[in-house]
Amino acid sequence: MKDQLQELEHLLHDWEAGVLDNEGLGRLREILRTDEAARGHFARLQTFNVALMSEAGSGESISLPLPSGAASDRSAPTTAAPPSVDAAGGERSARVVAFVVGALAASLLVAAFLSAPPFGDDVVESNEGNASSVAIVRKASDVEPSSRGVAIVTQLVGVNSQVDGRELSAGQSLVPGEFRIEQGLVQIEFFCGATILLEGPAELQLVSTELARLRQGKLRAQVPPAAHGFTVEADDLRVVDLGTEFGVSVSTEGADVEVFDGEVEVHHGGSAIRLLGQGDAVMHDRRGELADAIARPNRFVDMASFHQQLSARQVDQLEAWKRWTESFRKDERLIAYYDFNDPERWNRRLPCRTEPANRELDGAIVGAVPAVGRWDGKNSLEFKRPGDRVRVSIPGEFRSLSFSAWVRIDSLDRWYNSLFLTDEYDEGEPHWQILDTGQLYFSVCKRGVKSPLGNQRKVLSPVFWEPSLSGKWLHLATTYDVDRRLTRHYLNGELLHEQEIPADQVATVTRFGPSTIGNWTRPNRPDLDFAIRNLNGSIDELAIFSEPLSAEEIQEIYVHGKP
Amino acid sequence: MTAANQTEQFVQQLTEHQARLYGYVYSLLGNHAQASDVVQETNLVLWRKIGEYDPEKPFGPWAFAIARLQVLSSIRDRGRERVLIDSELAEQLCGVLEKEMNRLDDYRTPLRMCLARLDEENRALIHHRYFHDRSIADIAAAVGRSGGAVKVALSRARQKLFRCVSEQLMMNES
Repeated sequence: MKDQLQELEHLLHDWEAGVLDNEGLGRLREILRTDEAARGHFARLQTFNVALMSEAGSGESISLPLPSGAASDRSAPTTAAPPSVDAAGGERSARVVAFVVGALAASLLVAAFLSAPPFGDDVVESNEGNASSVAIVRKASDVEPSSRGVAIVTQLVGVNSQVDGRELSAGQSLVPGEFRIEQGLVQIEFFCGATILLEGPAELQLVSTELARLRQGKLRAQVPPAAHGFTVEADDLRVVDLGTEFGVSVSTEGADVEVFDGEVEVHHGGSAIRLLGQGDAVMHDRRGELADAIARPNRFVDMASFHQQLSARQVDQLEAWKRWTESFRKDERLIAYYDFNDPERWNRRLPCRTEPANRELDGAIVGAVPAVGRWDGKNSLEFKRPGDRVRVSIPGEFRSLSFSAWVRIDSLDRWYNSLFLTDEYDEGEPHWQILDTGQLYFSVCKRGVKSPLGNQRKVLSPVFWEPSLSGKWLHLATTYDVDRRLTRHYLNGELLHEQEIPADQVATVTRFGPSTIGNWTRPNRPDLDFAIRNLNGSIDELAIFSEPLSAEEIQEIYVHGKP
Repeated sequence: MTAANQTEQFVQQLTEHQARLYGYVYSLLGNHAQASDVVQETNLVLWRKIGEYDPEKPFGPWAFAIARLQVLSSIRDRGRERVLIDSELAEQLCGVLEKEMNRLDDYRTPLRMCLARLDEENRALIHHRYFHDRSIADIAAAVGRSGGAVKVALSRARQKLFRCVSEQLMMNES
């Protein structure tokens, strides 16, 4: 009996794959005819299939070549108006019909989707040209979503170093291994709870969440009770914290340890453990001898003056950015520009900062609350909950477009994580978002495309985001060039991906209308639960242009805005 | 109730039933292009019969009955074209299908939960195929496997997903 159900599954699968012969079809029908349980099973299988398709089809990721053109034009189907509608209701009904047909179109997504060869091998050859966007599909088993991190960089000033080929910035998580800075100061928080302030030039080996080896340079450690046992090794010394604040310095002369507060244990080879209290200092010279030394706490930068430096620098950067935006906001190509710099938590109006001002473009903040932006003293808007969003309405028609935003992604929780989405997805309407795979995703809707190559107006970047970037400010930009039929994605001022779009898939007239920042709003969908696309993170500056910005211009925005 | 109100309510009902009607019709015809034609025809017939619409009565049975007739006439008209289910069998199946399709919404949450529970590899396959609309060939190229192997893997992944969803549904029932 159970075998028969399995056989049914296989037969049905073959049918879907288009490889079921007549004999198989006869067998499938025979099972269904003679077995009531099989009929129930069939109904469940098919319902599951439809649920899967419609779940998948709830995104606009599916192109919409409407069969026979019946529903392609929302105003046309008034010919199907019902026989008995009074004159007053006439126009209203027409709109209602238009809506039904729109909804029908949505339901047909499923159909459109599979009317392309569903399991066709015949498309293999035709996809070579598309390889760039395909090759980035990551093999699931390659990447485990765990972190090997032991510590995180929380603040830095005057540091000019790279980690993994990227400029070191706040929020960078650090994995076991060597960490080097040439200059400046960096605050590192270990996952055990200890905080160190490392002064360059310095070389530190991160070993675990509670152990680091200082090879060269100076550090000051602050260890709250929860992190007792945090250990710094320097030369032959092991400095085990007992709840304290202490400094370690390693130079060509040897290693120094100095206690500012509390106690530490100093282990040195086979000798007895030395207990150092507040104001004590020891020196371990190159001959391997350990001796008392005079404490010179001023050699170590303390947290307070570090933070003074830091905030002075932040203020400088913020002021420089503000000056730069004075001309930026007057750029005539700007369609809308939000700098998110309004410190009032309960002001729910997000002003559009283009000049001359146009209050019509102001956004309405829903749910989202202000959070610290790229700099202290500069706000961003944090999107956390499924309802969080900013509503805007942008009138007009355009051709090419550019999007630019500073974004802090905490995690990619949704299949689609919204940056900027129009409410509908009609001809010429852009959707700018990030997939849970960590790929930037941009498309402008184009109706009625029936290309044998499939949908190529959706432009996916390679994977750019991974959990180690969580909490870091990133600059994302996408340009849509109608004339050159080219979409480009940028990350932190660098070109990430570019893709040509076939001529018949380019929407040359673009428009927005009611749109949402940081989420998706679909007012006309009965199944509202589909539309959760909230970003989990913050946005601090969003600009939309009516031209494709050049690589240099994107770079300029990045350089002037980077924290 | 005014005519306009009634129309609006009708439209709402019709909209709400689209996915179910589509699933019902597709289940019997086994062909997406045909199914979308038949659903459109069904919608038109329903629209023309709006005068018979009674807001007091459940919309579903009425709509399904009309869809059934449309499916049967479609099967008849197809003649030699292959369809999944013949007319006789369609009559046998329509009751149980209608019942199951009415639970379509119940499938959604378990489906999402089960998708989340699939191991990464299977989940990625389903995602790439159904959510990101990638062809088997694309996926095969990306993961460095043959189209045939991906097809088999995808079929297994879907089977796994179906088992999980079925279990969840049964748990919900009990």
